[in-house]
Amino acid sequence: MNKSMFKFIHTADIHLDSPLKGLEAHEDAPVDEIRGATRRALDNLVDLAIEEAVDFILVAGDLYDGDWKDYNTGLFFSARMGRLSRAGIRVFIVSGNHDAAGQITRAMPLPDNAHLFSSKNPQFEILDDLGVVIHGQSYSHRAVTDNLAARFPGYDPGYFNIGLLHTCLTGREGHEDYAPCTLDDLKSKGYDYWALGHVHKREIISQDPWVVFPGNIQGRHIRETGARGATLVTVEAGRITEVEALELDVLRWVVCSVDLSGCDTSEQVYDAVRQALEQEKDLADGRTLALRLVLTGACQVHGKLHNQTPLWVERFQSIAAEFTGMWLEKVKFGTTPRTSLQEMFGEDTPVAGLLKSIRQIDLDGDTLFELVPELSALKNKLPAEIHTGDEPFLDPSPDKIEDLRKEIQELLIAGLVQHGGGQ
Amino acid sequence: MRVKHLDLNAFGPFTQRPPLDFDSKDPGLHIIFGANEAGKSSSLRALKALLYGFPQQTPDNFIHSYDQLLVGGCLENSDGQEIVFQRRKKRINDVIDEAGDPLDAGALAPFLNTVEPEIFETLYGIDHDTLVQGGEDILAQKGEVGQALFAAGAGISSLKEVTDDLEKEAADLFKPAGQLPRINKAVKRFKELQKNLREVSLSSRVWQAHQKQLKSAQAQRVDLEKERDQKNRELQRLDRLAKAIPELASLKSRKERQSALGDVIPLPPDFSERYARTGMEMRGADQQLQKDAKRLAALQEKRRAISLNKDLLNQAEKVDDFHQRLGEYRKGFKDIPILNGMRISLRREAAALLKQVRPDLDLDQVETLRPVLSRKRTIQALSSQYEAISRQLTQAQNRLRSAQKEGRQLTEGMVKAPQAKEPRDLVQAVKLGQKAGDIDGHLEKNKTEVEMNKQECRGELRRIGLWSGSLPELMDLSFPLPETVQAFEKKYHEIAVEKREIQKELKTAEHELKAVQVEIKKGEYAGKVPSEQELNQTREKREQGWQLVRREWLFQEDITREIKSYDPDRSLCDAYEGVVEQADILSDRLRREADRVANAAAFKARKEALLDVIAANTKDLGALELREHELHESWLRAWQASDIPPLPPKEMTGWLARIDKLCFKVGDILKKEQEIQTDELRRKELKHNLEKELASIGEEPILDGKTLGPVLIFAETVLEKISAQKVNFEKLKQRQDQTQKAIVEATQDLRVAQEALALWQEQWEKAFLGLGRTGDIPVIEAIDLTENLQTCFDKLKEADDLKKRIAGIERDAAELKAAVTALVETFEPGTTGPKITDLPLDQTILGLRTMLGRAQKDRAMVDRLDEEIDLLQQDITLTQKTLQGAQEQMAELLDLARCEKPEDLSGVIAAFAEYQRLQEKISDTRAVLARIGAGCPIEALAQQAAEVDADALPGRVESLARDIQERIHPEINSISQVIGEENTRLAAMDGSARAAEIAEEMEQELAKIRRLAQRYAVLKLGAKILHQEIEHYREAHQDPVLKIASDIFNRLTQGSFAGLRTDVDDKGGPVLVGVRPDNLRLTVDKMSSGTRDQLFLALRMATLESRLETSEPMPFIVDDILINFDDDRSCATLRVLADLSKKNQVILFTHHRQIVEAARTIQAEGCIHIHEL
Repeated sequence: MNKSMFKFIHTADIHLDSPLKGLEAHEDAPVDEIRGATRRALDNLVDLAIEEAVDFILVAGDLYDGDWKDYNTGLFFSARMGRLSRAGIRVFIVSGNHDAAGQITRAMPLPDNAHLFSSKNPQFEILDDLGVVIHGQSYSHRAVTDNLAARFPGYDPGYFNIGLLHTCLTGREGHEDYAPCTLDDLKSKGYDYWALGHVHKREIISQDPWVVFPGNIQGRHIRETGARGATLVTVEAGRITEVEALELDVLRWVVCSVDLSGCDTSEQVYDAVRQALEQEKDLADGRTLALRLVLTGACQVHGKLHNQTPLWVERFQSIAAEFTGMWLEKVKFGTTPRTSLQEMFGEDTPVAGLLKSIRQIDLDGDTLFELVPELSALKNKLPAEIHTGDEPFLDPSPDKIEDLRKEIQELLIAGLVQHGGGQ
Repeated sequence: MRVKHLDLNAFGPFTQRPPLDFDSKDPGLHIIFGANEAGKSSSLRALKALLYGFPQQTPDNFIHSYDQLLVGGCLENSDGQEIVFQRRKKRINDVIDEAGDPLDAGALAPFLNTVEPEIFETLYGIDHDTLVQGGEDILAQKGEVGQALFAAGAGISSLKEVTDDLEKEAADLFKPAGQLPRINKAVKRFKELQKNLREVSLSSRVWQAHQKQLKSAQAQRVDLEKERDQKNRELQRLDRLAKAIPELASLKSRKERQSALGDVIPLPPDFSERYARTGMEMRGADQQLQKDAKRLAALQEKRRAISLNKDLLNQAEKVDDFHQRLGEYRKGFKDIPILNGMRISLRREAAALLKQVRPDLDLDQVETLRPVLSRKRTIQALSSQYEAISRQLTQAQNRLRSAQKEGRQLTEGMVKAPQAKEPRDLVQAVKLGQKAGDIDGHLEKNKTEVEMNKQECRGELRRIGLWSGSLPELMDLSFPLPETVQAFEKKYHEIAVEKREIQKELKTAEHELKAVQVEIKKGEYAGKVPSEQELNQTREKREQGWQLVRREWLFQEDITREIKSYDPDRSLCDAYEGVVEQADILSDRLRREADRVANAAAFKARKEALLDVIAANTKDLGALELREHELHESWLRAWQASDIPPLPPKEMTGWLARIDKLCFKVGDILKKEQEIQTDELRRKELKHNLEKELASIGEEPILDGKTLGPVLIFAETVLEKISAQKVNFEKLKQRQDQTQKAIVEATQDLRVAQEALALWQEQWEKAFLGLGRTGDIPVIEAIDLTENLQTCFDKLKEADDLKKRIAGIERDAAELKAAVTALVETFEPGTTGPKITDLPLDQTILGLRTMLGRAQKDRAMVDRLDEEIDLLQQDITLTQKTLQGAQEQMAELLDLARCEKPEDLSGVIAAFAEYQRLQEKISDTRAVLARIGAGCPIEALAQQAAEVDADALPGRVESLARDIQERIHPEINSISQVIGEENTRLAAMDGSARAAEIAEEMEQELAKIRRLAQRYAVLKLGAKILHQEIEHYREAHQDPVLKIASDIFNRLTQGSFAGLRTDVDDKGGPVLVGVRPDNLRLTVDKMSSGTRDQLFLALRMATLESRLETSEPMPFIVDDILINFDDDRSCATLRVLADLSKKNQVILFTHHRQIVEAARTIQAEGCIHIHEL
């Protein structure tokens, strides 16, 4: 006798124990609040699954982070599976590009209630009590470029069919093109629900059938802003009646832009920033925030801000510390002077010449190190991690060079104007 | 752009100050001078506020609040456009037009040329601090050309600080070989964390190895436990057999003994008990029956002995009733005599009362008086009316009497009262006198005041001096007009100023002359300066010599005489040679010492010019003195008319003012004296009038003196007296009228009262009709009489009531006796002998009651005996039933035991008991065997026992136990320990987050490194680019700017430096040097600090000038930069600024008077304008 109504949670990209990036510790930083964020987000998932009494959980790949080797991570996951097992909740997992080759995935014995799909062929699992069949296939190695979906079998009539797959579909910005397939490929299978993973931002691709990326359960850097979590699906009499987004993140990443156009004094800057931070804090629903402050606007205080950026960062940090559970990730000084530099310095002044030099100087790759030999020494001294990742040190991409140029310009102009007398 | 005027409407110390007018033909050098606190700094701030708005905070709000601050002005740009506007301190709409309406914020854009305020201050403003800082910076850079040019060009006072800051911050961040800089530290920390991470990470291989070991140990333990269990089972079996064998033997023997008992009659378990109980029951019942029969007979005998009086018992209620009424009967007989006594005494009292009313009547006739009593209320009403009527009568009589008496007294009084006089004219005179007020006091005060003022004026006149005479004479004097005096003053002043200027110029010229002379002397001391003239003379001489040589040599002329005159001491050739050499030397020197030559020439020219100046000035001075003398003469003439020797005009202005004031005061005094005379005349007239009027009514005051007051007071007193007399007479008349009216009213009242009394008399007599008494009954007695009569009737009624009660008591007693007698008759009708009814009634009743009590006791006894007999008979019936039951039981028992008689029963019971005992023993043994067998049936156990050798059993048991204890158990223990250890190890691998936390900390450290490294790169690149640009700027601008700067520097140092050049320092870098006129090069560190300031100023002005070629001019605001410049260089600087101001407006703020003075001396050169605050 099938249950006429059942619920399941669809999650993906847990990247368990992968650290949060870009948060620099300082005196007032809420270090304890962000500790073990991915673990606590997983705990939230488990709590919610038990509370909602769901029947099973789908994990669509990247349960673990690729390079992570500490087996404790697997043990932690195993312990949480134990909790779910005691609550009678089954778990179905496929591996993705990050955890396909990971030692933890391979070595971890899964408890009885958890099932890891094979990486050789598409497999299916039938849940007779619910009238559900789950089709899925794991990655066999990191870079799977085959269309895995193509080999999935057609739907099994008389069952509620679910496809579980880690894929980039036809490509998603900021995500590698693994297991590519088209929406039509998926639709052609006739399944009721495609539980996808890989894309970290929640996205409902289609509602007929449902094709869903639930996003990751915890943002890990400033490019993963906003609420994060899993998807709760309710099925009644073989039809999906509700698809609900669950918020599970314990730390939320926010980019907070503050327009300082009207600010003439430092006090006004503090007030504007304090007000903006307060707003963000209110929106966060009590969560700890990792916040990037972006200052914008053409303003009187522009020069002041750029003359002593490290000092200002400290002041903003102490404002952030007034709100409990707020970590100032970075301050971007994006303000501009009231009038353009060209208008300010005209054509034929030394500063105008300086500005021109900054604009024209070649800051590309090696020339940089020739220009300032100390930078070579610094580069060699820095850990390898600084040169890789999303923001490598002295990134030679045109955007970054432009940013660097701008930073140099602001530094020099602020310094020169500061010493321009008459102050 | 230039500022045409600046309006300080409400700013700092200024309120609607007249505008500072900068509108001149060329842009001009405008010097704004103000002493300390005159508002120089405020006006500088006002200028900046006008152009760029008020800063957030300004110290210029000490008079005008922030919202009142207002500056205005007019700007003009190079296209000739003009804007007139004002600025308020506001965040929006701060720019307004003259009418106060807001102007568009962009309205100023065409004038400010998009120059931001900071940049304006940087490029177009210079103050003393910037200048000094700039100068010091040039020193710190050792005159590095690029830095100096760049800094001056960008208006940066301290470029070195900028570059130093960059380098310092970078050094704090990173050093390739350092430990302490922040990046070095962070990298070190990161590496430590990396190491920690490796240490705490758990590899899956380790975990799997432990898991495997645990599993194998667990399998081993399972095998061992299996073997142990098997051996334990065998051991148990053998042990069991050893215990079972003796039990099996005893079971067998008991079974044999049981079968020996043969057939046994089975009895129910409680049989013997039932047998004993039945026997006992039968015996008990027999005994009870005998005892009960005996007791029943005794009770029946006792009952028969008692007889009962039933009739009496039936009447018990009536007897009780009599007994109760007996009390009442006894009390009645006691009361009768008392009641009788009371009745008699009441009748006696009534008789006494009647006697008071009517002594002639006795009690039996009293009823005839009852009608009087019925009029009792009327009598009471009349007696109270009588009181009111008699009171009215008395009052009316009294009033009439007193009114008549007062009437008589008033008539007498009116006859005596005096007649008042008619003083109409006197009233008029008094009113006039009063209207004049306190004329005496007023006069006295004015006189004193006038005297005091006169004295003051005379004193003042003495103090002012220059003239003496009386006050009225003063009024007649005439003086020159103040305007005339002012005109003189102005003229004197003009002459003085002119004189001062000339003297100053003279002094300056003399001073300079001295200096020039010194310079000339210096030149002379340094050796005579060769002059063109000297060279010409020598050349001429050389030419003469040459002609002589030619003549002698070519034409062999005899020129001995000429030779002699040419040079008497030497031969011609020597002389000529000498002259040639001299000319060469001179021309060489002239060429070589051209500067000196030129200087000497210049000094000489200057000396001549100065001498001219001195002569001209001396002449001017003489003319001035003459003018001054003439002026003085006409001044004296102006005062001749008043015969006053005048002081200088300025002092006479003061003198005139004081005299003027005094004249005014004297005029006042004279006016007041006139007033006093008028007042005195008036007073005299008033006084005369009063005296006349008083006399006309015959009142003559005895007073002398001029004063009006006493006469006036006397007249007022007279008037008051007359009016008092009039009032008194009026009052008397009024009272007489009132008295007349009172007499009439009192007569009326009296008559009414008398009529009322007559009516009352009539009614009173009617009320007492029927009392039978003759004559008047006084009102007071009448009430008592009626009261007594009433009491008398009351008492008679009481006596009657008592009589009726006595009769009632006697009737009740007779009724009781009859009832008692009737009762007794019912139960002893024919009794002979003394009858109970013969006794007195109360004893008869008591006797009846005693008899009744006895009969009731007997009846209770009989009732109790009857009950007892009943109960006993019931008991006997029950006991008989019990006996019968017991006999039936016995019969049943005999039947069960299959016996005929009860005596046979005991044998049957004993046999059955033995059988039972054996059966129990057998059951016990079987239970023991079952326990030993632990589930193994006894038959199987017996089978096994039969199969084993009982004697070998203990040996086998022991060897098995030893194997288990000494081999298997230790092995299990050790393997368990292994399992425990592995479990512990695996439990320690608990999914700890330690590694993840370290990874997180590493990310935090990375973020820091990333930020600091980025900052380091920016700082280093910034510093590098800045250096490059400085160099670049130098290359591009060195020549044009340096050329202008060189020229300016030369002028600023007044030729002390010929100009500026670039040179190369030890390291090959370009440096700035000053060049002396003699080409000596001076590095900046060898210059004085003032000269360095001038160097920086020269560079700043040079860049400004070079900018003029490309940019719209903006006013150059110079704030007191000349503090450290000596007088000459200050003048030079002013000249240079004045030159600049031909193209670009220059506004110079200063609070040094000498700067202004200096500017005045060079005013002749054109465009300098001085504004004093």
